[in-house]
Amino acid sequence: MSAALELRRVENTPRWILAATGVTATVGLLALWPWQHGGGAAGVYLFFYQGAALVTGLSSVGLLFSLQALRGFSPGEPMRKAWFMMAASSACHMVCGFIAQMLAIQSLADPSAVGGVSGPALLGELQRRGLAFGGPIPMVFLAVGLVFVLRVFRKSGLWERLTRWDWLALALVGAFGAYRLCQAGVAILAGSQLGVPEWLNLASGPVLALLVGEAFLILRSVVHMGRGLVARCWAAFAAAILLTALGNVGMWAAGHGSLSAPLTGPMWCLWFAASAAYALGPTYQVAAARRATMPAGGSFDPLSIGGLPAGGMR
Amino acid sequence: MHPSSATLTALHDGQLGPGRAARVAAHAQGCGRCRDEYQRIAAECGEFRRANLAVDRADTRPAWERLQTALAERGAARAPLPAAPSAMRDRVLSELRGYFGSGAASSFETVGEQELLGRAETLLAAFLGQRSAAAIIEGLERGSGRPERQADVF
Repeated sequence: MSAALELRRVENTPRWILAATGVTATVGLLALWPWQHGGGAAGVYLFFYQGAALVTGLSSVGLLFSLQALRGFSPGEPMRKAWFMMAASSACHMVCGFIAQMLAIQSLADPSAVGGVSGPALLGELQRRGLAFGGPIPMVFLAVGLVFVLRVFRKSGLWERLTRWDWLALALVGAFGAYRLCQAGVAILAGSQLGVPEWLNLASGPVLALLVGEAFLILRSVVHMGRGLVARCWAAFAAAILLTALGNVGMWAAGHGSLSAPLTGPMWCLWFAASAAYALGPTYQVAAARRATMPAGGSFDPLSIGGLPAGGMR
Repeated sequence: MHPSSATLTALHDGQLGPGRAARVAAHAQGCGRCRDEYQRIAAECGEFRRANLAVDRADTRPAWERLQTALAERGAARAPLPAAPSAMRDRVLSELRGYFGSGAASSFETVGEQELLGRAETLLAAFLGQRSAAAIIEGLERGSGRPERQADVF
């Protein structure tokens, strides 16, 4: 494949990611409509099947491009450590997403396909474990990776301070994490036994608060930078983290019956958007690196670069 | 990957950060091609300094008067000034706009011509890796049209 074609392929990936996410969310929401209005549950299966396929697929794309981005840095370069952590986070996302989404849904439809264990019981267990391990562990990798990224931002003079509103949002996320920890404390005092998945799930609160802080710092910096490919890469990661935080709050609200039925579908779609943003980040990085190393004079259509403009998140 | 001439010049002029300077110097010591290139740059810089000293010591008043006259004539004719130095600056800023954005590029507008390439390479290397940064800088030094044409559409 010529360098120009390779570049075109990489630069088209964000467009494909966004298109796949948009189509999946639209079809899923349409499929949910009959169920939300008292119809059968077939639409729910369709929503989760295609959603699971999308999330797992996007995690794979994220992993693939994170590894390519990692190869762009030599040992000793600060960003190499960051991309190593990003790749580890994507790998965890992919494996845990596969367990929580694909296998769990498969067990519901066909228990014999996953060892003949009772479908609903296995579904619950797989989803619980997959979501628990898929929550905080990739988040920890991501948080450590972003520490390296923020160091580079600072050294490069691109660092911007948080605004008053950022601090307020951060305080809200921190309060949410603290509230969940208090709830767990009350439950333990009342005699409840928490397993490893529950503890991991609880740990995601503080890690998420840290990630939201990092996301705001990155977002402030990239808003100042503009709309270059590197800025888009880190804006995508920041957006992914903020969408994840929003999704967590939504899930918590849904679990406590505070979310009305019409909002359930869009809330689930937040996870699709978060997965898309996680995949977009490394894609922009690889596009930038490919463009840099493309021989001069190569011809390609620059307008083919798809994806989310950083300015859109201002 | 060998460091570019711009990087070696920046090393000679002491414009690289301590870590990067140590890495480039370590490479140049072990690499014949880069050592030769560095020595060539050092020799040229030395000649340039000696020439400047000679001009400083000489009586430059007649030459200065001739230059002022020429500039006055040029101004009267409203002829454009040579664009060579600013063309390189434009290319560097355009490239930075493409990779980082207009805000990031604008912070380089006040950077002197001599240190512009070195600083741009440092920033590019931090976010894209040294290999990609070296490729971009080499493209800029060659004066290829690639960066200018593409950067505006990001």
